[in-house]
Amino acid sequence: MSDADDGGGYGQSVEEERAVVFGINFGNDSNMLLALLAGTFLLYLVGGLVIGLPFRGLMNQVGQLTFWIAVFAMSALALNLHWGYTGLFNIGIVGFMATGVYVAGIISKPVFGSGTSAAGVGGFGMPLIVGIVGGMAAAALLGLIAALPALRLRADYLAIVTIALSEIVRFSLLSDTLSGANVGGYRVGLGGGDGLILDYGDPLEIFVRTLSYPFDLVFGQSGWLWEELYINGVVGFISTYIPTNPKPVVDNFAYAAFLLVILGGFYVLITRIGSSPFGRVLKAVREDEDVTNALGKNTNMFKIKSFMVGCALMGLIGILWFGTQGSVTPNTFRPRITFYIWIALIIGGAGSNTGSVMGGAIFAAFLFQGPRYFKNIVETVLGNPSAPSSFGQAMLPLSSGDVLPMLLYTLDSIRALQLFLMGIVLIYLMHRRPEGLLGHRKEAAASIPLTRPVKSSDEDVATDGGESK
Amino acid sequence: MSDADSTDVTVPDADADVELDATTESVDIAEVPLKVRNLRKTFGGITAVDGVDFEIEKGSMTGLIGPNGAGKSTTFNCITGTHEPDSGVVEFNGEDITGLEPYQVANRGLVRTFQIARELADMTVLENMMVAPGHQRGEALWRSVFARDDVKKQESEILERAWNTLEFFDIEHLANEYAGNLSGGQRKLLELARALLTDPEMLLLDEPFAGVNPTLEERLLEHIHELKDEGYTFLIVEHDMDLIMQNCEKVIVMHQGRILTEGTPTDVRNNEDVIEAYLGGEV
Repeated sequence: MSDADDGGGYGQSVEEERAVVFGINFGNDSNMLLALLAGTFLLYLVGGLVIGLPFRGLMNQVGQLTFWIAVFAMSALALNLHWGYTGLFNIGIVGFMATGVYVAGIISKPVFGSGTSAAGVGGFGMPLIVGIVGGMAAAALLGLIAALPALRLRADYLAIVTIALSEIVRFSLLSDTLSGANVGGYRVGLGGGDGLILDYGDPLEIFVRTLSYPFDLVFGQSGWLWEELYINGVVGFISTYIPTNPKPVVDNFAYAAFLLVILGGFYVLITRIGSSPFGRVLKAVREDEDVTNALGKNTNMFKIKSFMVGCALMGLIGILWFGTQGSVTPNTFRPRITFYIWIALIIGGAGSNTGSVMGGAIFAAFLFQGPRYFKNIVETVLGNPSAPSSFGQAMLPLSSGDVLPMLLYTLDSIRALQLFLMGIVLIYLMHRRPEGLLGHRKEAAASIPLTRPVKSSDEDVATDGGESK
Repeated sequence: MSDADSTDVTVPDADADVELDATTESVDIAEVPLKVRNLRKTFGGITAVDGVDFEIEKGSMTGLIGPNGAGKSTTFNCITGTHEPDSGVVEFNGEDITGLEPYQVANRGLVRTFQIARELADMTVLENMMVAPGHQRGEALWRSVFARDDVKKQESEILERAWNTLEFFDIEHLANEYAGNLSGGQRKLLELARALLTDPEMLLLDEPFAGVNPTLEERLLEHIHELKDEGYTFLIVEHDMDLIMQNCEKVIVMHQGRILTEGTPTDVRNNEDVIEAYLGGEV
């Protein structure tokens, strides 16, 4: 892809028809993304057919894949705002996600003792939307707390503060003291080591029922969109292909599709923030904060705003990622997840929003879910043999040329080896292509294309070192 | 120690501003935008600036010279807020700006350039330029997302201003080049052009001609004189003696953190202390 294909006029005359949606030039980007996604899904489908997965299993895999692509792409986008645009080194991402989902849970869980739930603590019983807003606000507030002391120090100190905070959050979530308390007559808490049961209902159902209001008025039925269109319509249709209990499979898919829409919203938001005077100051801060200050910009304010917005988005991602699994426990939120997101961003190229999405997709498909899927495929092809249980047993047959036990042992340990694989990819990228896939593409930080302005007296300008007047 | 040959106004005592006559003060401000009084700055055991006093008149070009280590850059930094002085007062347009943040000083019309040109390397020349203007509506976060049409209007105006300024310096052909790819001389031009776009009243130039070839130096000087004629005030730190002597109306000489002397170039050139401390004998 040559540099002339940069999205948006960069002093070049824009000849091609470019798709402009929400004021953003999509052009080649959407083609690239679509090609990548289509290719990935195709690979997965072929793999599934090779295994001979039944339709249900195949649909589950594809639904899962879509989910992972969506969450990693969104996370990489939020991190791109911090790192790619503003140069803020945030390695506490998972702490902000945890804050988002836990606060949302506490706000939206049913009140303790109100009936059905077997949970140890309850919540405030507010509608889910209040919980989501509250979770995002809490994550943003935590971001402010992280940023304030670290801003006047060198960038590395922000990194230390963020990772320290994310571990503080995790330990707070594990603590017994904070696991339950009486707040204003409500019994709420963080649940300690047992975590929180997220019994505020099925978020997908809540969302569709909320969307359904206009339809309800028309059809005179509560939750028309959910009952009629979804349950009877879509799930009913799928049940012809998946006779037993199709709803969870469809739910998976529907939720993943929902996340893709939110991903689109993220992309529009971050791109708008980035290609604007605000984004321009962010980039300037990243390049040279002292100079930007000397030009009259209150750089601390810009850094704080950028950081808080990114953290709020990370809180939202935490809710979307972990908030639909029925319960959430503190040890889910280990720094490992933060580094997954960093890898995704580095693959795609920091600084480029399209790159962030691509990096998220590639990470999800080939480094996260990919190896496990690959393991399933190979084991099925080989007829599900039993793997040796120790390294010695795996290595010994090598001397007689039998590679199979080693192979099986490797596959069996795929979860551990995934990290190894990610490390190799990371080292390779840092060595050969640190800008990732699209990091070389610098997207203009302006609300308008930066082409030569048309003036009333348009004189010819010599292109190379000539004098203009 | 000011040369009050252009006005009959008495320079007010720093502690007595409150009792100033209003008309006196307003005339005073118009004529003498920058006043530095008794500025002191120490770093650990080193007194970099040791009681510096001077005034700069509006529309003038003043040179600030002195051997390396005399405290020139530190004085600049104290004036523009990069460092907070230990004591002393910096007044700009009658307002005490001592200890303000650099961005606050810049927003009041007092802008500095850096000794080593600090371009924003990974951004294009145009982006560099368009960062500079103040009061950009699009710099509010919510407007960047929700009020794009409003922002676009102002962006076009800023783009045009930036382009015009680039043309003034004859570097408009570099508009879409990454600033990191420019040559040293081009970066100097960009540094000055960018500073101009902040719409300053007064410019503090820190060695603007360092490492600049004679042709470019001449061009730069031409531009600076043009700007001076338009009403900008300049305070320039430089080592090129001929340049200072030929272009500045007033020269301030610093040595070991203090003002050695100030006056017209001729006065300074013939001052024995200066010759001994700095010029090293014959001129």
